[in-house]
Amino acid sequence: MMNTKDLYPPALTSLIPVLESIPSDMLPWIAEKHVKYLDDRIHKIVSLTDYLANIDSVEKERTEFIDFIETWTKKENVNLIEYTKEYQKRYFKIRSEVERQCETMLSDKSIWQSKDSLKQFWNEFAYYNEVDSLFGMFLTSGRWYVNAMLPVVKVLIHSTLPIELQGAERNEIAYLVARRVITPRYATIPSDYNHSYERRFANSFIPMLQFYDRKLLFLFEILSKYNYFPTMTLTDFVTDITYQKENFSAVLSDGIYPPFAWHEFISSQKPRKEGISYEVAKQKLEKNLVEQYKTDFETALALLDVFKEYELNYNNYNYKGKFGLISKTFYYKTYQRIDDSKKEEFLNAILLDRFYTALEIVNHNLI
Amino acid sequence: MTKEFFGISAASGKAEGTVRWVLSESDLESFQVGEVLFAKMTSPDWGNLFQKASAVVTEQGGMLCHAAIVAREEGIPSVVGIGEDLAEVPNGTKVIVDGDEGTVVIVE
Repeated sequence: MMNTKDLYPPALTSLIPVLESIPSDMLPWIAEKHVKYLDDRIHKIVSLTDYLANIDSVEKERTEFIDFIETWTKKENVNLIEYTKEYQKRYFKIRSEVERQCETMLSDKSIWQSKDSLKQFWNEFAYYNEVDSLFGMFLTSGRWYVNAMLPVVKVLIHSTLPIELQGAERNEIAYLVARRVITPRYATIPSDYNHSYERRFANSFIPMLQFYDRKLLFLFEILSKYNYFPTMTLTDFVTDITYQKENFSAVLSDGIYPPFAWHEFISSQKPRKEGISYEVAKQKLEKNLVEQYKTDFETALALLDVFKEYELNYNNYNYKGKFGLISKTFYYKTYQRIDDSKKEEFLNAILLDRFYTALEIVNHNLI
Repeated sequence: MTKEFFGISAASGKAEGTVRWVLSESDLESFQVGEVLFAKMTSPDWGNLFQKASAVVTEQGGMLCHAAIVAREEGIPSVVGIGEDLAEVPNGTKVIVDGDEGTVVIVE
């Protein structure tokens, strides 16, 4: 049995020490802005994607990342372990930069000593977080040109296509189907493309995704244990957590700040259907497995689990946990130093992850 | 009029209903139980909307996208990644969404 233990993302740490470092009177503002940002995204998500897809400052990194995933997706007889090791190296590198910045934002008083020192930090902050956003977009959605799971999904497809497809043709069809089911907007298909292959794969893959959906939506399960009442406000929830951390230790120790999951908390109160077991989840895929590709298939299944952990790790760290908390504390403090006439513009930019737009405002409007 | 749109099967099942596009906040409020949710893509705080919808159809995204995840969780059919042609289907159109075939058929 292959050992994939070392390929998983870095474990998240407890948020309790972070919460203790943030003044409690800032927390309602942080939670409110976070949820408002999510609400605003409803209407702006397409333009947000376009912003990240077109921003010049990280064009080199974006192009290189797309090429990295494309190359590995197209390869015949791909070594998925090597791909995952390479991906892990990149993920750890950007995470360590973001961690370093979190430490600076939380504890380094020198960045607040002058306008220049704050601008200098903002310059570095904008770059690394724009790059980190690339990792998020290339991991948690199919809205972009590539997704980090493409090589893994392609091998699952390659292992389960009808046996009569062989060699280069089999590889080409597996690639096209992978692009279609994961990133359909960017899949260019030939006129004789046979949609039945993608339907066959999608139907066999849905149960496996259902299994992982439940893992991604684990917060619904945890938060359902806490009482929500209809008159409860987000600020009430923040106050409960601030003064009764021990009641929320299960979530906080997993690196999650519950107010960032306010919508999940409300939705969690309704009963959910029972989840699907892993054994049941993989049955349909296994039914289509061609025996000669069994080893590739098992490797891909094991690495799908690894990549789904990266997806969860990114969501929890960036959207629901440490980075969200510390960065918004930093935004709050910067906001206090921005000229009144530009305060709203700054908030709109930074809460919608337009790091370079926010940087431009910081550079010209500090008081 | 009968017209068929092809996308990606994202959540199994078949449902018939009328189209309701969600493009702005007012669309969220006016969404009725049993309508088919049409969107460019969906967002994490649409949880209650998914509980009202009979099916979910999107222009963008693949099997890993948010719409697909929540539709599977809610047990309603979903077809994603149809592309910009979907925009030609107006509110109120009756459609059949087949999450296994990856199709959306206009039935009137």
